[in-house]
Amino acid sequence: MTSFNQTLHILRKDVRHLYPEITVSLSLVALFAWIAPAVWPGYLTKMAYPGAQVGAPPLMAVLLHLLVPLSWLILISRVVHDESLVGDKQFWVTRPYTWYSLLAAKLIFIGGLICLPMLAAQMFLVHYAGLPVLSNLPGLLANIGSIAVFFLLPFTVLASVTSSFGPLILLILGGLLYLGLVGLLGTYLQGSHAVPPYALVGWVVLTALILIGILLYQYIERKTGLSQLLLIWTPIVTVALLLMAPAGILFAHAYPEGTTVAAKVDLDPMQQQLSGGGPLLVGKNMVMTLPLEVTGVPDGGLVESNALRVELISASGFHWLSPWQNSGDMMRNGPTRVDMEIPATVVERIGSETVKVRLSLALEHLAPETPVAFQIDEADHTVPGAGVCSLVGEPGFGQPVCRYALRSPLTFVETEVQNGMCPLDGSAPTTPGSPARAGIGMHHNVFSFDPVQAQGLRFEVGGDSPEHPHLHALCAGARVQMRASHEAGGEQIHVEQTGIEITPYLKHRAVFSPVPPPQ
Amino acid sequence: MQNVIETNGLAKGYGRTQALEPTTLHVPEGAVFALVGHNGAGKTTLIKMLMNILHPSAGSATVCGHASETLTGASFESIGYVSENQELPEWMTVGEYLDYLRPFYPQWDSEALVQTLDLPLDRKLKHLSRGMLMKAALASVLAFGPKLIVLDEPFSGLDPLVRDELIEALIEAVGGQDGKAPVTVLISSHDLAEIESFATHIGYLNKGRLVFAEEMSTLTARFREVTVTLDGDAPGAAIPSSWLLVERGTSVAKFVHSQADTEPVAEQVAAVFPGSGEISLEPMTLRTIFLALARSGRAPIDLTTKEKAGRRA
Repeated sequence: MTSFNQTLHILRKDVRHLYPEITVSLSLVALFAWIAPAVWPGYLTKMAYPGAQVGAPPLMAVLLHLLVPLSWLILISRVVHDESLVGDKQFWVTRPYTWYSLLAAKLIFIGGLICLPMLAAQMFLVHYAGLPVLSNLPGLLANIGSIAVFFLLPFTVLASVTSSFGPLILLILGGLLYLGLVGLLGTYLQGSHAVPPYALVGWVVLTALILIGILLYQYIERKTGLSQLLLIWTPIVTVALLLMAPAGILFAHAYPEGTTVAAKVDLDPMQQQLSGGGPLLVGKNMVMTLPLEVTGVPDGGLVESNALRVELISASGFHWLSPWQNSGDMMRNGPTRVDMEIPATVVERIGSETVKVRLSLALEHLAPETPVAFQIDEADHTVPGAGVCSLVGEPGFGQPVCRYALRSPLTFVETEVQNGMCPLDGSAPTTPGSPARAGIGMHHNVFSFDPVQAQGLRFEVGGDSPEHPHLHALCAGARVQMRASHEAGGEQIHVEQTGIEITPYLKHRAVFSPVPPPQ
Repeated sequence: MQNVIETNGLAKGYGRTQALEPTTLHVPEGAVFALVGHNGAGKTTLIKMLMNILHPSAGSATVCGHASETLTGASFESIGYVSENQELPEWMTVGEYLDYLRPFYPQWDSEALVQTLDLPLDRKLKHLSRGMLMKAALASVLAFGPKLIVLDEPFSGLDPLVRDELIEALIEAVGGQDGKAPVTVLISSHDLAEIESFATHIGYLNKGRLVFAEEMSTLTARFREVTVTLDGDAPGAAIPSSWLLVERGTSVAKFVHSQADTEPVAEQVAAVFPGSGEISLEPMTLRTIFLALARSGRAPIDLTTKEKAGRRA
């Protein structure tokens, strides 16, 4: 028998043996595909799900996010443990099995009965959301690949080093606890340091490669003790490598020196922090808030500060350079503030001196796309970011909902809304509306069971206050203009300022308003 | 004759526990080699290392000309292995199990075996009795005509009828057909009676140590239960080392001679018991030989001593 025939032979045996588990898993995926839209804005009533009045479908959709991977775990456990690699009593180890045929049979089983049905379910959901399936196929395949890396590969590796489902569950629970501890330790050691660009992707790729290596090793050698030892060391080694990633080189590559945006420190004393309460301490660090005046951001564009690094040189010659720190401020042209952490010992050392501050900012440009305008109604209208928007629901009560496959761009929406209700027959309102704005957040999940990013638009009209929100209605026929922004590369800029004191710029725990004297 | 199995100082330890002391063993082609010993003597450990199921702590072994640690799936196209506690796919019926295994082998003939062993093809393996399960397991091995059959305690706990059926099937397989390479069998057992009828070679493991290994015919030829009629109690020469369990009464003396085929028994008796009369030499069963060895605390050939002597030479 050729290796390929042997693979198919083992696969046929597994399918015949595990058809009850396969049926349950496929049913859960089918149920997921049917019920996932229940959590999309407006779709709960549109789909007329049974039990919608008591909120059962959204609950079931959430529950299926647990049940589907659980069914995968059971299926993987059953198929791998059918020819268990652990122990010395299995019949197959003294039969003419080849390790690669056996592994291939298991992988084809997982690919064919877990990945493919999930891909089909996701294609259905994308299609049901009104999005083109074919052009989204590469993204969906990548998403299934991510699910395979984050769920199926670890499940398969863990099953290969256990003899049955019971020990597998124990290993997973113990492993989660262990990963939690390693993660906590990693977070503690990471502190406020920013994770360098590419490092997380590199960590995922490295971890996946190690897991693949362990899986191959276990199938070739069946040395469970050593494989388990490798599994135990993998999180520690990979997290250590993540912490040791050369941040300087990676930031320099992802954010080359740029000249598009410029910034300078705003020395207006009014911009300094009020000294209410004691200085804010984050661990052993104090927070300095530096007011900046930003220029050079292209019209309509935005800049996001992803990370920063600060260098302090005092008049007495003291020098301190921070690691790259997390940031996350959106910037436009004009005044802005950036926070940075400085060790309390450094502040104590040079707090009363004048220092030279050199600030490096890693900026991500968000370039505006050409605005798109359309008259909204129940039909799907293509919008920037390869999404669609429409009114979902009964005529007159439709809710504006935009759907994207896997990722949605940052989008600003402008339209006119009615302060009252829309005409019940779905016709255009006769009264003039009020100008209103809404926003669609930028979302890009590493992986997603439901590939559809459905976002309901919540409009704000000038004059609305958070304390007294108004209910605004977007009626059919209203003209909607959408302007999306896409990531347009990064750059690194530097801000330098000499002769400033740190103390006035320290952030304080609270700003207390003076208590009025008793009458 | 070519050896199908050779071990050289093969040993297995688990921490401080030594499951198998360094063992050197040869199983010639066409032999039915019985590995006997008490439970926990190391028989299964030795067999599992030969089958590359366990990895040795020391030493090496070759099976069918291949290093045991390099045995892969393809090697088992000519090696059949059956163990008393093997985990079979119990959800399959006997027929499904045989059908499943059939494509793995270049040749397969299970029909005659199914009839001979009276196997219920439509019954699931998990519903079979222990005896029937062993018959199914043996059939699944004999069906592809292996050159080497390794059986680990196949008869343990079986009723005599089933045991005889299995032995018959095994003997038939070993007998083989004209023109075919002879089949070699390595079988472990802790019951001497069940292997005596068909084993050609025997190895004795005790507490992880191979005490001896030799041809069955040599072993049975060497051992004789000797009865001597005495006439008087005149002192004679010292008792030879090959005599075991010497019992001397007033008119008769009894002992077990462990080298009766090579040593001059009559002359030895005359020297030890001057004026003795009639000498009776009775052949011994395997069981009585082992009982004699156990009671005397001696082995006919101490392999470790022999090896040391060889190395010194």
